[in-house]
Formats: sequence, C-alpha cells, structure tokens
Amino acid sequence: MNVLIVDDEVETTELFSSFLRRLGLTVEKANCGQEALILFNRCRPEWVFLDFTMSDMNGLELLRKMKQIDAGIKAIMISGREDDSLKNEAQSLGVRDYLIKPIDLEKIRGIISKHIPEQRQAVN
Amino acid sequence: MNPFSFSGLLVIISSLFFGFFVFFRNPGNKVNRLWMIFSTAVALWGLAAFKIGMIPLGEEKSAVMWWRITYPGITFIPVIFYHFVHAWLELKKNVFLALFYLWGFIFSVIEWLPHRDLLISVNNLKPVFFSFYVLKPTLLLNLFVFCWFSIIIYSHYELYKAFRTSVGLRKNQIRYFFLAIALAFLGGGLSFSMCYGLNIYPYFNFAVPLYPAIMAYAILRYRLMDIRIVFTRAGIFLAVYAVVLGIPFIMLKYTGSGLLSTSFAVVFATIGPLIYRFLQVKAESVILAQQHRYQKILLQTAIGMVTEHNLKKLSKLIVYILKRTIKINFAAIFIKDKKSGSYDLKAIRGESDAGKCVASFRSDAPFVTYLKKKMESSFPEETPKEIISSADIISRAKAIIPISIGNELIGFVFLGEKMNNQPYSDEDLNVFRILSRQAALAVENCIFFEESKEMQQRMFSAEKLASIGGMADGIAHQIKNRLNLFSLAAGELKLEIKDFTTKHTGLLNNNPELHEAFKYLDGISSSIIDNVKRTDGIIKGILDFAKVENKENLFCSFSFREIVELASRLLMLKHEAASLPITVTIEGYENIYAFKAQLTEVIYNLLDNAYEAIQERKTHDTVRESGTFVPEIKVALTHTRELHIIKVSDNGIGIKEEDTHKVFAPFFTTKTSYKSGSGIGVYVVKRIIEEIHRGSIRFDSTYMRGTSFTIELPRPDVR
Repeated sequence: MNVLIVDDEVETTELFSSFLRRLGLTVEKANCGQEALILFNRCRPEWVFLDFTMSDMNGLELLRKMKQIDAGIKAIMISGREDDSLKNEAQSLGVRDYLIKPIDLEKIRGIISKHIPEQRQAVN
Repeated sequence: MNPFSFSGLLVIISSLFFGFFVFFRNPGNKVNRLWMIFSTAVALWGLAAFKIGMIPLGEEKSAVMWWRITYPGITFIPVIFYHFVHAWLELKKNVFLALFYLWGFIFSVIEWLPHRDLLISVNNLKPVFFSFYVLKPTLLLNLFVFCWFSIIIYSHYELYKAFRTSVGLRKNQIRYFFLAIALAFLGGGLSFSMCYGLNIYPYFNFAVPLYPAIMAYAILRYRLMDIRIVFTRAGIFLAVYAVVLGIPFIMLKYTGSGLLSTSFAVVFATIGPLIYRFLQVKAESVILAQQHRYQKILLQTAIGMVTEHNLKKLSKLIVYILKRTIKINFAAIFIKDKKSGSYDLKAIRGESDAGKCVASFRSDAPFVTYLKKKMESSFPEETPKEIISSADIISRAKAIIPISIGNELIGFVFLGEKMNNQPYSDEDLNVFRILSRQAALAVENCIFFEESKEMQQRMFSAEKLASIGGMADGIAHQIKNRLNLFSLAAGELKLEIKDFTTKHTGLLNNNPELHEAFKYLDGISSSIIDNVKRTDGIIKGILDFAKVENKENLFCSFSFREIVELASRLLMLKHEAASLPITVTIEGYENIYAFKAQLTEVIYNLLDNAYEAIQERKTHDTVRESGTFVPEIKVALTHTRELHIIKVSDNGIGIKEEDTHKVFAPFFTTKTSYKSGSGIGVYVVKRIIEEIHRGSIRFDSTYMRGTSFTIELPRPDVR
C-alpha cells in the first residue's frame, strides 16, 4: 500500500511518515507542491495526505493537479485552519477527511483502519 | 363741488379708513384705540370742509349749523392728539391731559351757545373766495386758535423730547410723525388763515389725507423705511415728473404745436418711469452705502460658511461676522442638540456679561414654541411681552433670526442693538432670510460631518479589531503547526518506546532501572500530548474571540448566555481552574444587541477581575481566619425599554477607597498574582462600552466586601 505525504515542514513529514510506516504502509514524502507532483507521477500512490498551506501552491490546487493525473486518487487534507469554506471546497473535490492540526495520532490510526481496510490488521 | 369741499371728502375717507385700520390691527391696545378716536375727530373736520364748501353763499344759517356740528371735532383734535402722544410715550403726568380735556369741553359748549356774538353765529361768519363761509377772528376765536396750536405744539414738544432720548425704531417713528404733522399743518393749520384775512385758497388741504396714511404706517410698521429714502423718492418723483410733464407744456406754450408737444409728452411719459427708477437706485445706493456694504459682506460670508465643517468654529464665525459687519453690541447663536432636543448656546460675542447668558433653551420653552410657529425673524416690538421677559437675552435682543430647514428649527441667532442706534430695516430682514438659510445649511453640514467623523472613528476601531482578529488567526496557524510537531514527535516517542519495550521485554525485566526510565519517558510523552491538546484549546478560544464574522454588520443580536459561557471557558483555561463560581441570571430576553466579540472581551475582562478579586480575598481570609468565605460571581442581564443592563458582581477583595478613582485609568492594576494583566482591561472595557456602544459603565465597591460593575447599553431602536 503506497501513500504520499505532503507538508512543507521537513520534520512533520519525517515524523508522520515514520508513524505511517509503523502501520505497515509504504510512504513517500514531499515538502512542496512541485516535488509532490513529480513523486506522484513516479510512484502513483493510492492515498495522499496533503497539508493545506505550502509555499508554492495550496493543498486544494495540488489535489486538482493530481486528479488530472489520476482521477481515482484518495486524499486526506490536514490544515491548521478551521475554515468551513475550505472544508466545503475540499469535500467537493472528494477529500475523504479534513483534519485540523495538531493531529492526534490515535485519530489517524482510526481513520486509516476505516478507509484502508487491508491495513486494519497491521493497525490493530 | 369746489376744491375745498372735495379735499374735505378726501380727508374724511382717508382718516376714517386709516383710523379704523389701525384700530382693527390691535383693538386691545390703548394707543390704537386713541388713534381711531383722533382720526374720527379729524374726519369731523373733513366733514366741515366738505359740507361748508357746498353751502351756497347766503345760507348763513346752514353754515352756522354745520360749523356747530363739526367744531367740537376740530376742538378735540389737539386734545385727543395729546392723549395719543401721552399714551404712546407712556407719559406719567395727567394734569395737562385733564386740563386739555376741560378746555375741549368748555369750548364745545361755547360753540353751541346760541348767543349772537359768541364763537359761532350768523354775525361771526364771513364769506371767502366768493364760495363759502368761515369764522371771523373774534376774541374767542383768537383764544381758541391760540389754545389749539398751543396744545398741538406742546404735544410735539413732548414728542421732540422723546425723540432726543429715544433710539432705533422709536426715533424713526417720531421722525415719521414729524413728517406727517408737517403735511397736516400745511393744510389743516393753514385753514385758520382764512379767518384772519390771509386769503390763501386751502389747496394744501389735499396734503391732509396723506397725514393719517403716514401716521398709520409709522404706528403699525416695525421696520420703517429709512426716512431719507422716503424724501429722496418723493423728491426724485416730483423732479422727474415736473420735467416730463413740464417740457411738453412749455413747448406747447412757445411753439403752439399740439402735435409736437403731445408726441413729446408720450415719449417723456414712457421714459419717465425709467429715469425715475434709475435715479432712485443711484440715490439710494449713496444714502444706504453703509447698509448695502454690510449686507453684501453678510451674503458673501453666508455663502462661504458652508466650507466650515466644525460646528463650534462655525458658530463662532457666525457671531463674529454678524457683530463686526452689522456693528451691533452683541450676537449669540443657539443650535439644537439632536439628542436632547434643547437649544444650546454655541457662541456669544460682545457681551461683557456673557457668562450670565442662559446656556440652553428647552425644546418646549415658550420662546422656542413661539419661534417655531413664527419661523421668521422676530423683532421685540412684535414679540409678546411674556416671551420677551422669559429670558434676559431675549429682552436685550433687537432681532431674533430663526435658523431652519423645512419645518425644523435647528437654531436661532440673537442680534443686539446697532451701534448707530438705527433700527433693523426691511432690507435687513431679507438679508437675514438668506443668511438664515445659508446658516442652516452650514450647520447641517457641520453636524453631518461630525457624525460621519464619529462614524469613521467607530469604523476605524472596528477595523483595527478586525485586523487584530486577522493577525491572531495567522499567529494561531503558526502555533498550530508547532503544536502539530510536538504532537507528532511525542506520538512517535511513545510508539518507539512501545515498540522497543515489546521487542526487548527480557532486557527490561532484568534491568528495573531501564524499565523505570522508559516508563518515565512514556509518561513525559503523554504529558506533552496532553499539553498540546490544552494549548490547542487556548488557541481555539483566542480564535473564537477574535473572529469577526461579518465586517459590515458588527452589531448583531446574540445570546448573552453564550458569550458569558465562552468568556468563562477562556477564564478557566487561563487560571487552570476546573470550575468557576459563576451564576448567570437573565430577566426577559436572553438575546442582546451589541458588538459580539467586543462584548465578550468586556465580560471576559470583568469576570477575570472578579476571579482575581475572589482569589485575593481567599488568601486574605486564610491569613486572618479561615473558613466561612464562599466565593461567588454573579452575572445578570435585565432590560428596560431603552437599555440592556448588565451587572457583573463578586464578593471578592473589593477596591480600596483611595484606588476607586483610578479604576478606569489605563495601566492601573492591583492584581498581585503572576497572571496579572497589563492593567488595561477595565480601561479597554470602558472604551468599548462608551465609544463603540455609546453606553455607560459604572462600579460600586467596598473593600473586603466585593465589587459590582453595571453596564448600560442602548437598545438598537434607541441607538
């Protein structure tokens, strides 16, 4: 199972990927929109974790571009902002979940077991 | 009918008409009544001329009868005239009045005594101009004429005395009286000359009908035309028409050509009025140069007034210009206060005792009601006495100009006496009308400007708040990113520990110290995660707090209980308290109309102070005697028809007497705890309540008993 994490903070991607690997996922990480697109093209992950605020483009734009490459991509948005209009926009793009920072790892664990059934074993 | 008779007819008509006209203008006034009686006497004299002039020579008996009928009227002319002067000048001496009446009665009786040698008898008549009879100059007639003129002269002597001492309108009125009397005596007085063989045909009688007209004008009008103007106009009129009609007449005489002179007459008659008008304007601009100058200045400044946007400055400008240009002893302006509806003194100039001047007129004051009804410049002569005496400034004003827009009286101006003692004229009145309109516009303009400035300031502070809100949002986002890292790192640490301990169970079992260390690390990680959650809670609170939902309409109706709960949650976070002893009571509606975020800040600040006060009291009590103190903070909301009333009270430490005056000062604090604020809390509260909400805040406090703050917010329909 292939996932891609995008966040403009290196430490965040490091720690988050380490956590996801513990759950048995194959994790790729990118720190900006461009890098994410290159990696996305190369590894074609099934899931992406997107930060909303990044230096070159925002998470929603990035998701739109990814959808042009792979319409079936499943995404989880992570944002520092609790903003209803962003949330609605994300949902209209088919985002599976909209999480607010700081992320609670326990919550992530629950979501993963819900959305990615094959991993349920590993998660539990 | 001969000319004498005809002039008599004119005198009758004119006297009776103007006499009754004056009477009906104010029947209650003694002066007006006397004038009517006087006019009737004059009309009797006119009747004499009318009838006697028509009696053919030879009918002496008939002439005697008519002279007897009319002579009492002639007799009483000077007597009643003196009575009129007596009343008009409000003279105190009644001796002369009684004496003159006595004289009048005696002569009236004498006139009717049928003795052949007394005043009026067949023997005493003589024909004049071969057309009518007049009296012979007998001894009694001499005495009569002497007394008659004496009374007239004495009356005018009284008028002249008054003329010397009077000012303004009254002086002008007397001037008119003198003009009228000159005309009247040219005619009426000269009639006696016929008795004395001075055979001047009484053409001058035709001037007499003018007399009652001029007198009526002088008595009734408050703003008399400048008498110089009257003379100039009359002079120019006579001169122009003498030329216009004279030249064709002379031409006819010398050339004998009727056609030429007639055509000249037509041409002159056409251009005559134009010449008259031209000369009149020229002459008057010379005579009234000073008056025209100030009227021009006033009109110019009136137009310039609109550029002034500060009401106080505008008011000062208006009174300054009025006083300087019209040259009056004082000027004052009152402007309506929109809130209270009263008319307040905005500026006064030229009064050494300005401090004594009434500062405000209530909207229902009799004077204000009077002016609202009149809506025209008012002069003391026409203002009811009880209104004049209602305020000192009204009694001293010589003109009062209302300032109005439409039917709304937005203010008024008091003008004092002109330095040259001239009265206000009709031209002044016109200038005041324009001035009043311009002033009204300028005042409205100022009020609008001040209101919009105030509005801008409120918008600005709201804007500032919104930008702080935006900033808080940005900062919160950054902090959340950091917290996210803490959370991830601590989570990772925990997982790593978990993985390690499951993998190396044996190692840990053999080494209890290592086991303890891992357990400790795990505990710290949990604590970090816990703290991240709590910090996040605080950030969330701040964001809620700074959030400005709708920039256009910051004021809205919302639940008061909700903001109290929000504020107390924040407070619990701040003080790490599990609960707060807050009770909320709401009477009536739970909703309140205010600026939500700001009112939350207000409640938060007041609750914060209350909580600190309770904590202080607790430490005090434990030092002295522990036990019975039960802390409580009460928040109450009530409503009146016009206000929301919020009360926040505590039974905490209270404020020391000596500190009470500093409570609302910025940077004042008595808080001793480490969490103590900057001391601007209550200051901010006051500003929010007073400046943004136009409300009020006050407090009541007793040291060691507690404090209570009361806030009153105007409700939207009152705001």
